[in-house]
Amino acid sequence: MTDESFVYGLYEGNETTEKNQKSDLSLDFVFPLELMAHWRKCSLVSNFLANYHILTFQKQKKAQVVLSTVINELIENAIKFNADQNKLVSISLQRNPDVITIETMNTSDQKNVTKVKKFVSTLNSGNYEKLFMDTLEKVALSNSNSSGLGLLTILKDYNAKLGIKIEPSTRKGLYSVLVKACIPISELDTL
Amino acid sequence: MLITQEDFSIELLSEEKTAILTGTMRLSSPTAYDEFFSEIVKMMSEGGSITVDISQLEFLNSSGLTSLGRVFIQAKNLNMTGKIIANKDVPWHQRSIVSIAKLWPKALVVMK
Repeated sequence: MTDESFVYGLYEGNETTEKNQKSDLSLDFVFPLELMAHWRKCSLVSNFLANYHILTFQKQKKAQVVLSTVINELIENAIKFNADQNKLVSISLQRNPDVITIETMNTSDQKNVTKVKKFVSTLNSGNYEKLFMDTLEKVALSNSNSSGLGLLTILKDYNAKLGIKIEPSTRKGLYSVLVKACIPISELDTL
Repeated sequence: MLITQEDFSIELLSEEKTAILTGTMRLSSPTAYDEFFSEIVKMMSEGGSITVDISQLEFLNSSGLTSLGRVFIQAKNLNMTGKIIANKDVPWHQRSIVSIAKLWPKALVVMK
């Protein structure tokens, strides 16, 4: 690991295990540069991936809404903070007995990597409801165009665990950013 | 007044002072919601009480939560009372909406 690498949460100390795990479903897709006109594709991909994974749940509709919501927030983040010319995003899902794991990967630049690290530093308190309300009030009053609430919503609403891994890319000045969210199956079946 | 887009619609009932949001709202940024939510804000200009009915809104992304939060803050600043009608079967209604409703203390959240 180089000095510029960064790991948080789920990526801390379990790299060997990760490499041995295969995803149930993975998808790489490019997001066209005229992204506003294509923004609905985030929702299409999220709904497809969620629908694929809900077949064995008792409460399929609720599980679909939760999974699609979480996947959509991760995909939107991966696109918004993407520095790749073609906006390439990779997403994979894996279902284990107790959790569903969703992981995205995108390329980002120094500016966005700094934002991600700053966000992670706010998570230490663990009081996600307070963080959510503080962030919401701040962005709602600032006319900011970036809400920053997506990952907080996942943590706050669905008892998720989060991991973030940043590594220098082979391309100078760019980084690979991996974001992983684990949702307990119990959250999906007992809602 | 009915605003219809491919994935969602917003119905504004001016006499009842009610806005009914239906479908999937996953726009690209908080400001992308302005052109739609500004109609709800216009409806608040006369003061009094309004109802925001999201019980048929299946999805709203975090940009939309931010933008709806801005609407609720405006309602609070106008000292309005109101009702937020949500759906008890939609997980994010029970969680995110209950949270952002705190921005509008005089609103009653009704879970249908």
